[in-house]
Amino acid sequence: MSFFKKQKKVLGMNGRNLGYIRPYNSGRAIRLADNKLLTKKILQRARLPVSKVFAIIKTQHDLLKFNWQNLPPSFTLKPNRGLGGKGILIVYSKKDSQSPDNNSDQSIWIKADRSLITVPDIQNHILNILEGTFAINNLSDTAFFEERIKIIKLLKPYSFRGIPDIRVIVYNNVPVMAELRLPTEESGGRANLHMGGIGVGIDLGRGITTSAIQHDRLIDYVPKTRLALSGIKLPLWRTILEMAVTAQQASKLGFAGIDIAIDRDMGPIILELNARPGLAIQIANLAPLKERIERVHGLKIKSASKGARLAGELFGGEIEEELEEISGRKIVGIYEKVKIIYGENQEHSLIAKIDSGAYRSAICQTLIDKLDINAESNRAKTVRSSIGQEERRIIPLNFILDDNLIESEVFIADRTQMNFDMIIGRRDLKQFMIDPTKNVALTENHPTR
Amino acid sequence: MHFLINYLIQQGHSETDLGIVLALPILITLFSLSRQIIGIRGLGLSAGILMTMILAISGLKYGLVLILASAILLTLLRVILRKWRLLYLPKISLILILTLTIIILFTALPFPFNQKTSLLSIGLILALAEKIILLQIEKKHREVFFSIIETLVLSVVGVSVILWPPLRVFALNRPDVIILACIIINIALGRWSGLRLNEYFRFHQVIKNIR
Repeated sequence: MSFFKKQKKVLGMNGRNLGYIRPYNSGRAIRLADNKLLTKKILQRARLPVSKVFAIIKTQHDLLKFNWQNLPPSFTLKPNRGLGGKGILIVYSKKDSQSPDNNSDQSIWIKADRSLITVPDIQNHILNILEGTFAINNLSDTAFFEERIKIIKLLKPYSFRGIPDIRVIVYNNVPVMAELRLPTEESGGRANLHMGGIGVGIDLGRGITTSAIQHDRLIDYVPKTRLALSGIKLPLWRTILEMAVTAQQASKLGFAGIDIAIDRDMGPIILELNARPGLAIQIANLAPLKERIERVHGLKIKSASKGARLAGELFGGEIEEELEEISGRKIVGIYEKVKIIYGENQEHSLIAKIDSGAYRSAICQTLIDKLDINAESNRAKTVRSSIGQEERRIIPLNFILDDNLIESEVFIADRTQMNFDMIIGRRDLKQFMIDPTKNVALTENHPTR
Repeated sequence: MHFLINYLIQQGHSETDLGIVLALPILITLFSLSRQIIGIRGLGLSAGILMTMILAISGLKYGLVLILASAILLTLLRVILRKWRLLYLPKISLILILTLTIIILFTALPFPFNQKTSLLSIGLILALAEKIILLQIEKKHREVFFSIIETLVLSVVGVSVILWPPLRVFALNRPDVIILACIIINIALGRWSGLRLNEYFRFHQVIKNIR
């Protein structure tokens, strides 16, 4: 394809404003999206989860009679019409007041950067919010206290202090592109790309991260670490996509960026709506937005679940599927979910380690005992390993790896000292290719035993 | 000369002023063109016009020094005052007053430079200052600095365009042509949905990846 044709598929600033924001986002809908409290109301009416508001301060009078005792130890203070994450104050916990009478004005809280903040500091911040310092149009604004979102374990190593969120661009009731936005040291804990946050492209079909950018340039790792940004599998992906579509429908925005965070306790919740979503998401996904929008244009999609499913089918799985198509093999990571089939159609799921260093797969004796698998076998082999020579029994075992049934013969070994009860060797990996960056979260839901 | 211009000159307006005012549509078009086609964001239209005016009044060399010095001064004052707990508007007013005072004090010094600086441009500087401070709240110092430089470069181009004698003569003779041409160009720009020049660089990885 010629360069001229290729560049037409990319959505630029002019094209976004003229082609999508102006015709599909009415002034009314944009005003709604810019107003966080109003957005919350509309989203709640559509039965979408949002974070709880503790208190709203509209005037200086409200501020004067505000009872600081009512404030929980952990909260977020936001300007209602704030722009680009400016003016947001995150408080983690309350420091025990030293005074015996527990005077409210002496309360001290601890901020996200571990510095301390007092009531006069917060009052001053609220005054600045009311003045409209952080507001989109610099007119007077409202401040509100809201429940602080707690980060999920999976994303903690990737984020610096703040809360990562997922931006889903929805057009015509179909999610067309998504990106995970990670706060960094440079962005001051804000998940904002302009301020130096990381944007990570997401495969819409599987919810697995692909490529990543910081300052519009491609990066592989979280800065200053060796943590790969690709291959992160986001939980509840289909739910997130469906929420994004429902939010777009509720907001009446035709072209919207929906920001969703995953709370440790509450699961996915909608943070805010964006009527003018940024275009760097195209670089994070290494895919052009205009082409995707045009493919979705004119479709009649009614339900959120259909929109979410269609997104996966149209724009999902491209990278892996392509590789799988070329090689005829499926891609596995280092840790993969395996379903052992035993007895009379009984199943046991666990996470096994993919071990290309071993020829034959091996399973721990304790697991064999636990599942009561028939381990009678007259076959055995002497194996040499780092600990010396050992004779191991070989039994037939069937298991499912990435939807493929593998009829294998595996070693029984003592793996009680190992992290994984099962390893998959080269013999059983002939239909697969290994991608070391593809990760499966090791949690209670995914036992290795 | 155009009859309207003749009439205005008879009313007592100076020919030079009229020439500059009539060249303004070209300046404005230059700014919108650079944003829509090249992708230079700068500080926006009004800030660009203000800067061009300052350069036109004080001359290129002195105007540049004045603008850059005031921008640095503003930033310093803002950083110093940040420690203080002050509300937004009084704080900005304070910064503007201090900037003004320092510039006036500096102008009183017997530098050869100072005779050339018009006091009118100090007033324009203050109007520009709020734009810069507003941007500083949103963006990092580095980005603001680049925006100022971008706008300055455009203003230098702009000032050489509006002060270009043949253009001024033409503007006085055919103001209708200038205004009509600028209107047509801006309508065309308003309907242009293609990539901006800087976006070809920004999205080159994406374009490369399209099959």
